[in-house]
Amino acid sequence: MFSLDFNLIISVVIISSSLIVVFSSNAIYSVIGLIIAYCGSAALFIKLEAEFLALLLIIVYVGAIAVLFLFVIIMLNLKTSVNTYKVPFLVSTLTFFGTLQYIYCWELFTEFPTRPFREYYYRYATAHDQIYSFANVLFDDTVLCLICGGVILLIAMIGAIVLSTKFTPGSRLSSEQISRNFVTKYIC
Amino acid sequence: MGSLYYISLIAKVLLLILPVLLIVAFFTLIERKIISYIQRRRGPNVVGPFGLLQAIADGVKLIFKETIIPSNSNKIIFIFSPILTFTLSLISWTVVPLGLDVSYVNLNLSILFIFAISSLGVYGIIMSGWASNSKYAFLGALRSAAQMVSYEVAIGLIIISVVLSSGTLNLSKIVMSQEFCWYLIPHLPVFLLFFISTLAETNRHPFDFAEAESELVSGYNVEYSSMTFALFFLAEYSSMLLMSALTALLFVGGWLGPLPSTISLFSKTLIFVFGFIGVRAFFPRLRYDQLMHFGWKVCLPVSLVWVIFMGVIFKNFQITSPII
Repeated sequence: MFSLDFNLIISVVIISSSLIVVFSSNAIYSVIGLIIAYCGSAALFIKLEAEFLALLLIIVYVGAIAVLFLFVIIMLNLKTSVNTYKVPFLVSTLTFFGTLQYIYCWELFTEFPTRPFREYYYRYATAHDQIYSFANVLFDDTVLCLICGGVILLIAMIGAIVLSTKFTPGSRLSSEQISRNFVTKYIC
Repeated sequence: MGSLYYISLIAKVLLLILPVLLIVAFFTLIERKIISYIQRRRGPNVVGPFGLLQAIADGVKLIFKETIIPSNSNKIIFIFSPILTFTLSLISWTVVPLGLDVSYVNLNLSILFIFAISSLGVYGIIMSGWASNSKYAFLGALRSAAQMVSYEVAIGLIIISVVLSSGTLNLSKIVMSQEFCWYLIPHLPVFLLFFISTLAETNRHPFDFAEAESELVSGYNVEYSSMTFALFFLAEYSSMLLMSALTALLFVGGWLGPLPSTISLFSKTLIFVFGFIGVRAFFPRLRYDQLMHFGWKVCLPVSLVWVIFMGVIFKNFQITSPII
């Protein structure tokens, strides 16, 4: 017998919206389900007193990434999809990530003195201010990893721009389509 | 937690929301009056003395009109998106401090909270444009979503440079750290960029591509009528007011002004509101690629360089903010 508490309600919301993401035939509803799942995770973070992480989750995932998903899906005008292969795919993915999560939690909460997680946990999780503990971990201990991650993301971004930009000989940029801009750029 | 607790809670919420809505109503009147004086006309002057009741008359008119729901629209999202937009525009007011220890909640991360809520505002617009099932609304929604997303980046970086110099994410403490010098003075270039970015973020002139009348009729809210339209309208003006208040708090010292505390904050906010209206009256609309050019190739690099510059200064000269 369990009581109907906040955590349970939020978890039910997250799981059901994730199921909508996978099984909805309309891609727009899938993205809306994804947004609800992100908001639910943010609510869980707030319940765990990690307000900074919750707000970052909302700003980055809901405010930027999901907006781009929605944008692209609306622009592509996708038709309704057919529900084949979804169940085996879901089961295999859940098994994979569930196993990963289990290993991570096992390392975090069992005696494993060489792992850095426990060390960080004791050093920073009890600190007064979350932002200071985040800054300590990110910019002191793991600053090299942070810079490497940043560089990889930058390369990915530049690569995406390079791949998507094609200058065919006859075409003009939109800024050159008005005759006065064209004149100032090419003739004067 | 008896019934008295809930009554006081509701009373506090109403004390917050009703003044905002009243100010928004008179904001529309002020805008029409000022623009009419700039264009040498009289503006609204029939309903009530000096046209003061015009805003209320407009509201009553919108309430009593018929709500038309297009038959091919997605009805749930169509109804839901104006409600979402309106709610989000009111939620941010909970953390805005009107004086020292005068706010609904004094969050420790209030500036981050406002930023998060304003980044959610895109959904109302993009979903309303999609759910209307109309080409004009769809194009307007796409335009305005792309515009809001790109200018949010610049706003975030400018807020980071302010946060760097105050050393806190709490809006009250950011204001208190401007006791000796308003951030307008050291941050003048990014202050100007911030004002321009707020114009773009709230889809105002000269960046009002969401409702370019000559091209898109009215943009994402073409299909909306009556109260659903009124919710979009109120949300737009409420977010303009919020952005003005935020500029006043971040850059010109909030309530630490020449006048007594909250009055000084109100007058500074009013100056930025006049700025919003004046820009609408004075400047022509940009072209869309000019807007994107300005956002990504001027605003973003300048604010990024400014953040790095501020960081280097604070690191090299070992300056710590007055708060920590």
